Amino acid sequence: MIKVIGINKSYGTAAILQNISFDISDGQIVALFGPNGCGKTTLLKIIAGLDKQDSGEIKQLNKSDDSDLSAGLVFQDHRFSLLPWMTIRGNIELALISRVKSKPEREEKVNQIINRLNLGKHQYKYPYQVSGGLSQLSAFGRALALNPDIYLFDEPFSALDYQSALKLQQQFLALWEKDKKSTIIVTHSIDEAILLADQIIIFSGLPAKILDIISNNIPRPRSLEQLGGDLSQRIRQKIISIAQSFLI
Amino acid sequence: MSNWKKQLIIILIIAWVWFLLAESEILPVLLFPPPQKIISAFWHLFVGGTILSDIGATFMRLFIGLGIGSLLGILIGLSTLKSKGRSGLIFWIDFLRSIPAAALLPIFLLLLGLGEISKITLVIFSVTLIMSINTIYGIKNINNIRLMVAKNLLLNTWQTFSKVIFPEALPHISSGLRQSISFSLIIVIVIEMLVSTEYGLGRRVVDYHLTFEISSMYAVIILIGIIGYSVNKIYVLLETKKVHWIGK
Repeated sequence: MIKVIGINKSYGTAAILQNISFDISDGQIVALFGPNGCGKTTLLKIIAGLDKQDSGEIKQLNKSDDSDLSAGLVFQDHRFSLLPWMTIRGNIELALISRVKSKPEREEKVNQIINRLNLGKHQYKYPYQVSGGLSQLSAFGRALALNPDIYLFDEPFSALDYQSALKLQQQFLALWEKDKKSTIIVTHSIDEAILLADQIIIFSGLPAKILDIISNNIPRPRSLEQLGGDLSQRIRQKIISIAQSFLI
Repeated sequence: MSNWKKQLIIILIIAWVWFLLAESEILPVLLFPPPQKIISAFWHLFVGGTILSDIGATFMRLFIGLGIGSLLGILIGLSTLKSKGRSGLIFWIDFLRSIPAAALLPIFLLLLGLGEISKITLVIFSVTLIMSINTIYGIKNINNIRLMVAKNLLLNTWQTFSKVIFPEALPHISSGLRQSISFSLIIVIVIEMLVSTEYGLGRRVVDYHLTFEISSMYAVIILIGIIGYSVNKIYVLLETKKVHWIGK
């Protein structure tokens, strides 16, 4: 289990995050839902160790050693997060060069990921030569190659058109079902949160506080059809009412 | 009709009109020799002329200057990676760049004598300025997300530099090199015209001018145009192949 405990963060005098606490059980997907620019990305950066909190801590329970939490990040905009001077394959391999020193071993690992994601046909193309969906799938592949303790996704579907986003969500769920790794996903889409997450954490605007945490017990493996069901309807209502009450 | 065919037809039309004007003596033949005389002069540049030594001398100055200048400029640019003193450096480079390089020639001649050293040093000087400013802009504009990616993928300092920062700056560096090529050709030709030297395309233009071999003078000028155009074209071809991610 990963515990986020009382995180506070401000930039100068501007408070960004206020006393953020929640738990991510092993193999859970947690969605962070809230207005734009409310510090969700800052929170991801803190969890990833790319930014420092003013107070509070990120704790990983039952870890054998006391090494830092390792995180696999996927960013919203694949045009920046993927490196256009490297092929899809090169981009995935980049996640391994610091840890896997032997070239054949690295090649083997990259091959595994390429096969898992079905990217064989595109592996020697450059990111700008493939669709946004495939680019973002490659970005997932790169996070996969890191084999981290937790995946951190910052609106990974929001730069895609609706169809590609749906397709990529299915692909992601299928991947996730295999190794059930803890995941935090920032999203603006209620349906995305309902489809993917076990817990939906609703944030207020700046400074960001947690307004509510809604659990989502729709049985897995999930499919798009379930988005129309009673249970998901109830969750949707709840999220909307919380978001609305905050507006007033 | 392809573009170069159109341009060829335009050249033929210009030559034909020139021919008619020269034959009918509307244009003074001494100043505007008819095209067939220029073509024959062009032929004689290569057969029995010194033109190959001239091209060699000009290219030697051009490429040594470009090579050393680019290397120095890129190194100076990269030395601002930690952003310390960057704005101070930009001021000095901008100031020195604002002085037309030809105006500095007397200083170089006084300091370094009339030989090759002073000629090539002026080219190096100009190229270094152009290359360092372009390299600085290249690394100044590095995308923050890509730096986060490098950190998230646990790249070490050298890997971050060689796999992320340098490739990101390369489009800027390459455009600096393109400017440098055109610019140093101008500088080399001007130096050759102003400073005594045995060989060099600029020298050939001046010599033919002074001996009033006007057809040969035109032939050398056209040759310089062809060389400048080809060197640029070849570079752009190389650039689109090697720095394929420009604008992607």
